[in-house]
Amino acid sequence: MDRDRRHQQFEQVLAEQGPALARLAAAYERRPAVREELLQDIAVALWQSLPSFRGEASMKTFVLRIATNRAMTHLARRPPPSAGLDQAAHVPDAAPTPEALAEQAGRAERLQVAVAALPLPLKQVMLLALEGLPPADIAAALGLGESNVAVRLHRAKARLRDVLAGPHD
Amino acid sequence: MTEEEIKAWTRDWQSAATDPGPLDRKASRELLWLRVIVASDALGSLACLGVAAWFALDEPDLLRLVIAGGLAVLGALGCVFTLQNWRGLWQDSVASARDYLAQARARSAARLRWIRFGGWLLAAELLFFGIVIAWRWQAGVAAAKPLALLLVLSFAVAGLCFGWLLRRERRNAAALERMAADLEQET
Repeated sequence: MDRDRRHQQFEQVLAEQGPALARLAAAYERRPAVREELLQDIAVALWQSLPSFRGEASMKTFVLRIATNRAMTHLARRPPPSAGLDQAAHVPDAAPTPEALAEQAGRAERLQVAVAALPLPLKQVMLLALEGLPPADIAAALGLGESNVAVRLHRAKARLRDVLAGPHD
Repeated sequence: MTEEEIKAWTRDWQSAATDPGPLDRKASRELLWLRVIVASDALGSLACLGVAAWFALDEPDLLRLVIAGGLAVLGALGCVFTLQNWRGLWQDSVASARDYLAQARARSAARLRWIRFGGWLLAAELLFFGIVIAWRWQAGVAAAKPLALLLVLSFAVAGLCFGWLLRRERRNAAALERMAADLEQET
């Protein structure tokens, strides 16, 4: 792949998958300054890996797999301060206006905090599911069997449901 | 738990306001930095060899030949070790998270070996230069005393750096081991 074409593809991938990468980085790293570092690591890994993309899976699956991989080494290098899963239950709603958009923003924020607080094995599976990857792709990305993905997803959903159904401030 | 609920979560999740910022510029900066590090490593090795060759050939005497030969041997040892240590670990794995984690652990082990080897190399250099300086000190060379002081100071700083690197990499290796254990437990 020549350099110009690679650069063009890189920019296109970032434009299309940038928001998904930002969501994933936010779930793995809650500290904004350190999150920048993770995003940069992911972008570099993506640039280095793009020539190996053969189209066997979708570009989104490929990108999220690289981001998930990078997030693991990031977590080992910069372990997060411990935070409880119930933290998500206490994230206040956005300004309590009747507008549905504001309500959705509050729900999205609570969901982000709840997902971020899941244990790593459940978080990996849940994040990829929330980004819309089918179970087979999640299994391939994580190197697991599909049945194992289903079990982890079930546990993750149950934990999220408990937390999100809890009292809000 | 209903499918509707999952769909609602997915909707909420993907609606979150996120701005990754100028990722392409961030990546370009980081890649440039990586290239500078690799290039300076290669240029540093070439410069060392050049200086050693010049030192030995400019006014060839026994002392200069010994110093240049010692430098060349230690440098060659370092190069051979580096090539052996990192064999098979250069390419970034784009396989599954499980493969990637295995590679990350192998890389961490290689970094630990590299740091330990660097420590031994440092000790060998200290011994080598210490003997050479002591030899010149005994011969009454005036520059030997300040050189000995410089040697002790620079090796003390390098030793502290290696200690810091070793502690940091041990922490990283332990975190990777814990992560692998956590992920296996859920399998």
